[in-house]
Formats: sequence, C-alpha cells, structure tokens
Amino acid sequence: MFFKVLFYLVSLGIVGLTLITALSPNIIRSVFSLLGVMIGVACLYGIMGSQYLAVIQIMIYVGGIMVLFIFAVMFTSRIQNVEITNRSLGKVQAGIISLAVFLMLVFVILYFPFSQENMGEHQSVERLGKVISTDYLPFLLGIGIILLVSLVGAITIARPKKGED
Amino acid sequence: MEITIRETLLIAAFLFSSGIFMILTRQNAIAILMGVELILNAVNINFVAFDRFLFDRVDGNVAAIINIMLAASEVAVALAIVICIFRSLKTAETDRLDSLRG
Repeated sequence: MFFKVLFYLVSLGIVGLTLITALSPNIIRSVFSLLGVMIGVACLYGIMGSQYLAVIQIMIYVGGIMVLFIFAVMFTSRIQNVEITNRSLGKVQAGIISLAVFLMLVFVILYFPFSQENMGEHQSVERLGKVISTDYLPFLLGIGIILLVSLVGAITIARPKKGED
Repeated sequence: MEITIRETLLIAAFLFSSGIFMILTRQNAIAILMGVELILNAVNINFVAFDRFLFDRVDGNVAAIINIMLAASEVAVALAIVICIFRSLKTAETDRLDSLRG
C-alpha cells in the first residue's frame, strides 16, 4: 500500500516534469526539469526493487550526464529560445504524431495479456553482481573500452585547435 | 494493492512519446539530445519492469546498466560535437547548420 502511494506520487511528478521538459520554451527550465525526471526515474527503480540501478541512475545521469547538459547549455545557446517549433514541422503535426505513438503504445499495453505474477522479489544486488561478473563479463569489458574510446574522442573533438582563439 | 506492470509501462510510454515530441519540435541540438535521453529512460524503465514483474531473472537490469553506460558515452561525444559546431559556426540551431565546411 505504501509503495503504491509512493509510486503514484513519483509518477505524477515524472509526468508533470516531463511536460515541462517537452513544452517549456526556456531551455534552462527544460534542462532542470529533465534532471527532476531522472531523479524520479531513479525513485521508480528503487520502488521496483532494483536498488543498484537506482544508485547507478543517480550517479551517472544526475551526477554526470545532466551536469554535462547544463554545462553545454550555459556554454552555447541563447537561453530564451523564442521559437521552439521547427520550421519544417509545426507543433500541431508533431503533437499528432507523438499522440498517435502514445495511443498505440497504450492500446498495446492495456490489451496485451500479461501474466501478472509479481515475481522477482529477490532481485538483490548480490545476484546482479554474480550475473554481471560471470555471464555478461564480455559485455562489461566492451562497455569499458567503448567508454574509454568515446571519452578520448570527445576530448579530442572539443579541444580548440592550435591557432584558434 | 500492488504495483502492476501496466502502470509502469504506461509511465514509460508517456516518457517515450514526450521524447518523440521533443525531437520533432525543437530546433536546438541540445534540446534534441534531451529528447533522446527521455526515450532511453523509457526503455530502461521497460527493461526493469519486465524483469520485476514477468521473469524471475536479472538480465533486464544488466541490459539497463549497459544502456546507461552507452547513454553516457553518447552524450559525451554528442555534446563535444555540438560545442565544436558552436565554436566554428556560432550557433547550435539545427536549421542553420547548412554549410559543409565551417
């Protein structure tokens, strides 16, 4: 019961902050509400019982990615982006397309016969660690290499060239 | 009174379609990347929900972890490219990026 109420509160927060993110013309406000969405998603992971993912979400998304976003926004853009719509596709058409996608997903979710079993009460960190370090070890190593290469590439791209300012 | 899988998937569907709306409407490249982040989060919520409610496994959590790491590297490279473009063209709006050699 407690988790149900908590789930609904967090979901309400996520929906409101997502609406602000998608619709606000001020990009700073958009970035900060996206940060709120990330924290809400971490709370959802915690409610669903995967604590390790909640911690990872807070550490990487909130601590890393969103700080990078805020930095990039402060660095590059005009803050008050007056025209938020694209020139090739208006707000109405985009709204129709995304609403159609949403309704299709809702239809599938509501009518698909899920077997409601509520398993996975023992999704512990220990089990996740065992699976990661045995079955998925090549994936973990590959992810490490990809992270290293992409960070080096990002530094190389973003560094100013010689002779330029 | 337990949380059901349908509610969780509905939240993820809402995040997904908001991300699509954001990608379609925004002009700023950074805002488009924010829409991509919303979509990735929706996918992660789906993975964790299937793990929690349908299967007695943790493979979905592993997939979500790999997804988060890939999102981190993707954002690092993409924001570096945006900053580089801004430095040479003085704008980050996608409609104005129409010259081949900055």
